[in-house]
This record gives sequence, C-alpha cells and structure tokens, in this order.
Amino acid sequence: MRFTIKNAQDFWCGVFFTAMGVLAIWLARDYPMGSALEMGPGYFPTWLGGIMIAFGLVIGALSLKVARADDEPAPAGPWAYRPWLAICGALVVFALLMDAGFGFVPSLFALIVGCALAHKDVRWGETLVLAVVLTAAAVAIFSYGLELPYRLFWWSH
Amino acid sequence: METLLQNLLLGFSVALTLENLFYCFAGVFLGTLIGVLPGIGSLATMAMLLPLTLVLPPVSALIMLAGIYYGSDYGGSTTAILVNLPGEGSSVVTVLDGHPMAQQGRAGPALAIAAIGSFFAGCVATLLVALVGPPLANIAINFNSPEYFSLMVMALVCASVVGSGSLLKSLAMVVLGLLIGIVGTDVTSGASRFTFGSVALSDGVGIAVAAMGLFGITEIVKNLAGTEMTQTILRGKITGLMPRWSDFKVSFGPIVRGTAIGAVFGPLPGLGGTISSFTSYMVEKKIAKDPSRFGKGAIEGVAGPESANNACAQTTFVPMLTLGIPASASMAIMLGAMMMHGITPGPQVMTSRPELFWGLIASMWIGNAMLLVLNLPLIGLWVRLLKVPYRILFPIIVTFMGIGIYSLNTMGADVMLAALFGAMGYVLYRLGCPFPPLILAMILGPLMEENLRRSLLLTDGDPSVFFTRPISLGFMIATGVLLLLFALPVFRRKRKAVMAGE
Amino acid sequence: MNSTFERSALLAAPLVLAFATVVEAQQKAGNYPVRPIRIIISVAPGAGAEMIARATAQMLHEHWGQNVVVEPRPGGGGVIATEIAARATPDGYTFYQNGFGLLMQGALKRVPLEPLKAFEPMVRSTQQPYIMIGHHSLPTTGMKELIALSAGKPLTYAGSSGVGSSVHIGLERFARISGMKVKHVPYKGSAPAILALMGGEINLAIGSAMASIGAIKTGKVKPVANLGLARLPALPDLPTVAEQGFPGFSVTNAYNLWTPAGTPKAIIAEVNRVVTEGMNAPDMVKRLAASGAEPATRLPHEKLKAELVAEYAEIQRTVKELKLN
Repeated sequence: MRFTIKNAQDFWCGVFFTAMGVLAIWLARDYPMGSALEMGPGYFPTWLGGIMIAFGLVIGALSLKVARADDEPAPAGPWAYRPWLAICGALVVFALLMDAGFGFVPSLFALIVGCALAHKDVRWGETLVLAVVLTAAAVAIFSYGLELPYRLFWWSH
Repeated sequence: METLLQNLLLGFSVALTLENLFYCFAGVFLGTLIGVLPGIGSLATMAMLLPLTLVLPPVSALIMLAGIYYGSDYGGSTTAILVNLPGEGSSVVTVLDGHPMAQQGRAGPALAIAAIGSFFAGCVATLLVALVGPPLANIAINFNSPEYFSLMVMALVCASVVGSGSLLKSLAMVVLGLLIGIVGTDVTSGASRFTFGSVALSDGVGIAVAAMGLFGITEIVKNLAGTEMTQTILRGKITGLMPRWSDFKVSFGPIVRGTAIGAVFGPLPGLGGTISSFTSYMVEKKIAKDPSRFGKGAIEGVAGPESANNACAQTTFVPMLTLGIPASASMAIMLGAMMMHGITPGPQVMTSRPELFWGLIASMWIGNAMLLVLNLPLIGLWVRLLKVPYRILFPIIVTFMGIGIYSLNTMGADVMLAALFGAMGYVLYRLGCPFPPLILAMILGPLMEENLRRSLLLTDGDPSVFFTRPISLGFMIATGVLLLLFALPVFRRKRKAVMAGE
Repeated sequence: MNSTFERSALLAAPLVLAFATVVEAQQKAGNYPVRPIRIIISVAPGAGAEMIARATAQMLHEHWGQNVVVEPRPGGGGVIATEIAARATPDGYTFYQNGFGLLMQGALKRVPLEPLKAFEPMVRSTQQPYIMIGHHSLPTTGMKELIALSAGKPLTYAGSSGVGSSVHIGLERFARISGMKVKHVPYKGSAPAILALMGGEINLAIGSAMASIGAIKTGKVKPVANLGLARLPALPDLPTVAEQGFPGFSVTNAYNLWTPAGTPKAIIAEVNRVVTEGMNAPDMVKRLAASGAEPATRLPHEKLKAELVAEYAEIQRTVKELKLN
C-alpha cells in the first residue's frame, strides 16, 4: 500500500477537523458524562468530538483517493500571511490597549496604523491622515453621538 | 371583518397623526443610521435609544421603538451586502449572495430588492398579525421541547446545503459549530463548559463576534491577498441602481415564499429570524433551476431571506401582544418599555388599550413604508461607498468593526475572540469549508441540546416522544426526506468521481 | 432626554473627580454627595432590574441634586458587574444593585470573593413577591392538595432563570419543609417557562407578579399561590403560601443596593435613610406598582445585613444539598 495525497486541501481539512475533535474530547474529559437517559454536561461535547473526528478521518481518507470531491475550485494563490497577521494582530492590540485603559484615541490610532500594515505597500502619509480623520470621526460618532462612556486618553477618566 | 376594519381604522387614526408619523420616521431613520454600524445590531440599537423614547407618550414611544427595530434591522442588511459584515445570525444569509452582487456592481438592485421584499413581507405579515394574531400565538404555545428539538434537527440538515462546497465539509462545519455553541454555561446543569475559566466566555461566544470575525475579517484578508492591487470592492461596473424588470420577475416567488416562512417562524421564541432566513435560502436554492448560481450573486438569495426576516420581525410581536410574552430579546425591550409606561402587557391590552394595540399594528405598516421611502434614495449614497479605494476602505471597516464588537459588552476579550475567528476563518476558507453551516449550528446547538435534555427529563428518558407527537414527527419525516434529497446527488457524483479516479 | 443629560454629565465628571479626592479625606455624610453617583446593574437595559435602578436613580437625583447614572454591565451571568463593582473605590459613589444573584454567585463560587465581605449592603430598595401559576388543567390550587397530588407524580415546575435561580433554590427549600414532590425543569428565563406552562409542558411556573398577571389573563393558566408574605393588591383573592400552613415561608425578588466594603458608615446610614424614604413616597409607590414591585419595609442597614447573612447561610446549605457546586 502506498499513500499519495491526491487532494492536499482536503487532506489538511481532515487533519484540522480531527484535531478539533480530539481537542473537544480532551477539554470535556472532566465533565460528567451521565447517560443517554440523563445526560450530564459532558455527554454532548464528547459525542460531538467523536463525530468530529469521524468526519475528519473520512475527509482525510477521501483525499487520498479522490482528486476533487466537489465542483468548487480551491482558493488559488499563496497564503496571505501579511494581511492575515496584520488585521488580527491590530485587533488584538486594540483590545489590549482598551482593556489596559490607554484610552479610546490611542487605541484607535494603533488599530488603524496596524491595519494599514496589512497592505503590501504602506503609504505612511496617507495612513497618518486616515488615522487622524478616522479617529476623529469615531470619537464623534461613538463618544459624542452614541455616548459610549470610553475614556479618550489615559489621563482622562 | 367589519370590526377588523374598524380596528384598523382606529389604528391608522392613531398612527397617522403628524406627531406619530414623525416619531415613526425618527425611529426608522436613527435605527438605520446606527444599525449600519457593524456590530451594533437591532437589539443594541433599541437598548441605546430606549431612554430617548421614555419621555414620549406611550403610543408614540412604542411606535418609535418599533421604527428603530425595523430601521436597525435593515441597516444591518445594508452593511452585510456592502462590506460582507453580518452583524447577526439572519444577516449571514444576506451576505452570501448580497455581497457578490455588490462586487459585480449590483449593490443597488440588492439593496433595493431587500427593501422592497421587506416592505411586501411587512405589509402581509402586519395584516396577518391583525387578522390571525391569536391563532398565530398558538404556534408558540403548541411548540414544546420535543417540537423544538425536531425543528432544529431539520434546520441543521438544511444548514448544510446553505453555502457552497462539499456536503461532507458542510456537515463537518455543522459539528464544529455545535462544538463552539457548547462554550458557556450549560442551561440544564449550570456547569461551565469550554470557558477556560474566562468570565468573557461564560455567556458563550456571541453570534455577532463569530460572524463578523469569520465573514468580515476573512473577506478583507482575501481581498488584500490578490497579487494585483485591488482598487475597490467592485469587480465589475455599477450597472444601475434599481432592479431590472427581470430581477423583479425572478424575485417575486422568493419574496412570497419568504414571507410565508418568516410569518410562521416569527412567533417561536428565540430563533425566528435566523431560522426563517436560512430556511428561505435553502428552499430557493433547492427549487432553483440552476442552484450553482447561488453564492455567486443570485438575487433570489437576497430577496427570499430578507423578506422572511422581515415577515418574522412582524409576527414576533404576536406572542408579546397576545400573551404578554416576548419572543426575542428585542421584544423584551419593547415589553420593558410598555411596563415603564405603566402598561401591563398581556392579552388585555387589545381590549383595554385598543388605540395602543391597533396603533402599533398600523405603525408597523407605516414603518415599513417609511423604510422604503427612506432607503431607496439612500442606495445611491451607499453604492458610492464602494468606489472608495480599498486601501482606504478596509481600515475603516476594521475600525468600525473593532469598536462595534468592543461596545457589545465593553470587553476587549470579545474583540480578541473576533480576531481568533478571523484567523480561523481564513484557514477554513483555504481548506474550502463554508461558514454559514457553522454559524447556524452555533446558534441552534445550545437550544437543541437544551430541548433534547429537557424532553428526556420530562419523559423520564423516553426518546419515542420525538416520534409520537404529530408536529415533531412531521419535522422528523421532513428531515429524513431532506437528507435523502441532499445525499443522493452527492453519492452519485462521488461514485463517478471515485471510478474516474481509479 | 433626562438620561442623555445625565450621561453627558458623567463625561464632565472627571473635572470634579480630581477635586473630590482631596475632599474625601475629611468627608462626612454631612456634605455627601458632592459628585455624580453610579448604580451598576448586572442586566441589560430593558430588564426589570433596570427599571428599578432607573426609578431609584431618578429619585436620588431629585433628592440630592446630584446626577445618578445607571450603568448596565450585563454578561457572564452577572459576574462581570460584580467584579467591576467590587473593584470600585469604597467612597459611597458606586452603588451595586443586586438581588439574589450576588449571594448565589458567592455560594456557587463563581466569583473569587465572599459577597458579604467584599460588599456592604446599604439598603433594600424594592421587593417583589413571586407568584406561582399552574396549567388550567391542574385539578386544585390549594397547597395541601397539591402536596398530596405530588405524591403520585412529582409536579414539574420552572421559573426565573434556570439552575441556581432564586425560584429554584426557593422551591427546593419548600419541597424540603413541606414534603411536596417536585421536579425542576430548567428554561432560559421566565418567558419561555410561562409559554411552556401555557402549552401544558410543565405543571407549575413561578414568575413575577407582572408576568403572572398577564399570563393569567390569557385564561390558559391559573393562579396557584402567592409566594410573598402578604397578599398583593393586584391579586387580593390569591392566598399566600405562608397563610396555608407554612408561616414565614416566602420567595421574593428583592433588590438591595450594595457598596464596596469600607465605605464610611455615615454614608451608608444616609443612603439607607434617603432610599427608604424615597421609595415609600406615594408617587414612587404608584410607579413601582405599575411594574409589580413594592417598596421594601423599613430596615436599618445592620438588620438588613443580619438578614442577608442568614439568607446566605441558607442558600449555601441548599446549594450543598442539591450538589450544585
């Protein structure tokens, strides 16, 4: 028997779902199972984890045999690392700054500048103008218009 | 019939005063403006604007709140269509064909048909509420836990055909959605599950957080990945702001069917909007001559679900007006407003305060008309937004999304969760997995588990209850038929593919 | 408009605040309050608890001339609000309105603090008796008869917000003292529970007077008993459980105003006095009645605390018996 992966996308898809199923069962390991008649909090997650693994294995197994399981073309092009990391990262930074109480204005500034890094050629001048205008607009809409009680700067209350 | 006419006349005489028309318009207008902001759905908008209405007389206050409700609902659809950002469960369906239409330069027709479909659905459903309110309320009463469970099983099977891609992957996404839906506090036992000790997760993962992360962030990453510089969202030229005659012709059926579906699901507490949108989409896709157009900008995929959602938004009022029971969180706010004005909600409102009851019903109709009047001219403005260069537009989208999500609970954790969903969304997109089944499963999963466990608790663990109660049995049979219907073509094709591969 | 004004005042609060910290050191109840006060609540706008908080805030504003802002911090089953309130400075400018939920969070160890050590109860603002309603097919409504009936098949009941709610704990306590056989069926709130009762899925539901009266008027359910200690003006013919042979037993939904522990005693006494008087003013009583609530009986802060200590011990005992934690 020799295994060749005929469909890499589906193969990794199978791996992903299997991993999710294992993770679910592992996380639910301490929840009481109960029985089918009187289900405990662990019953649903454990069974779902099992079904998830089954789906993962079937999808993975089929990828070894079938080149294309459906008519949808796989997304082409290289993995978009830069926007992927920049956008998600900028949002996380925004969340951390807000929670730490740095204030609405600096957090927004960081979010917008961080976001702009997602684009492959960053135009710094344009980004700065955008950051100023957009921050001002957001403060006008959310702080003054909708009266959300966020402190604007770290020194304000 | 005569009394109905009299009642409606009374209602319109209340709703058509200059004052109430103004409040209705103000509600729709403010609702639309705020509802357009991503992450701020109709519930948040109503909660935010509730204090404004408290200074008004009761009838005007309720009319304005109702206006805010429709307006913000429609505002949410606008954001979904234009920038692929669904703020609630039902908008997830609108995104599927609405945004591709926008990319093809047909945002105008998409927005217009959504408004027109909503208007039609609103008119019909309002009439239904007036004519058969109490019988409609019986739908809610006759649905016990077994019926809910069976309905949700059926809905999940439907979910797997909404969205493109292989059936296997769709089903896997349903299971993943069910797993994510488990996060939070278990209703039946009170235990915390999958929360990693975090308070932020103890209420579960917010639908808005997951939907915006998956759809919104993934779309932006996808757009920025192109090797060539993406100038705007548009892939084609803007071809007219209004639907063509042919658009109306293909949309008529979906609008009528969507209205019927939404009107039936509306009174069911907790799930009306989402289930009716998904069901309508599934129906349209199944009966279409060429289902492969769906997900690529089919106008039926916008017309049907949007009508269903709005019909449902009307009939959601039924349990509140006839039984005094709110069928959704938005209705709970309306109920709260009634109480703040010293009105005891319940069936007696119809007889003791007829001007309020029928005034509200009439204003629903007027609210829908206002929505149309207000939004058709706005379409030109919205479409112009699409011409903004993408390198300017995407930071704007992310910023508003970030603020919107943060404002949900004033918690950074929600924003980080959305970022996580966005990161996972791009992975899932690369793996060819459709998102809608996951979202629907996330919404239905907790309800399904709750109703299953409650059914078994009440019958001392007898699972036959799902097959002995007629309505439940009906859903179970329908589920079986649907499964066969969906599975057959796939198996046939797969066998062919396997043979071809060997 | 009023609240808009209040909120913009909150934005201006920082200016006052810097100055206020200086004043704090020598502060007595005499010049309290000198700046805006906030009332944190653990539910979203539109909920019953918000209405009570708003009414309280407006009354305090009229009395003191200071702005009183209601700050809803929903989420996490109320834990988020509790944690925010516990972190506030104990200077008498942060109130936390909470009923049964705070004690339950402590008993279930959902919060890393002991409610009665981290907070000081100032005053009980309002209370609301729970009403027990039954499906219209229920053969009887007398408590004694229901207890006999339950011996054959446990009566299924639901109410408020599921496992660990005040109704759940209260009814299980009743089952223990009365010998009634009951089975708790969890729903996600009293609205779905009452709907299920109308459809005949359960035998009994327990809800606020407001929700119950609305439900009774549909004719699909009937009143069974008043779980408060006194009869309600809105339901004068409905006997209380207490008068049916269980003296002293009650399940009520009471709202207390708490403040972080360490708040000056003089301020607590002042708040207790002003709130008790304000809530008992005729206009306020009328306003509360519209939402089914009534002002709390006059209770000095020490007595309130003693009552809550006893209630907390009782809750902890029931939680242990039901193996909820």
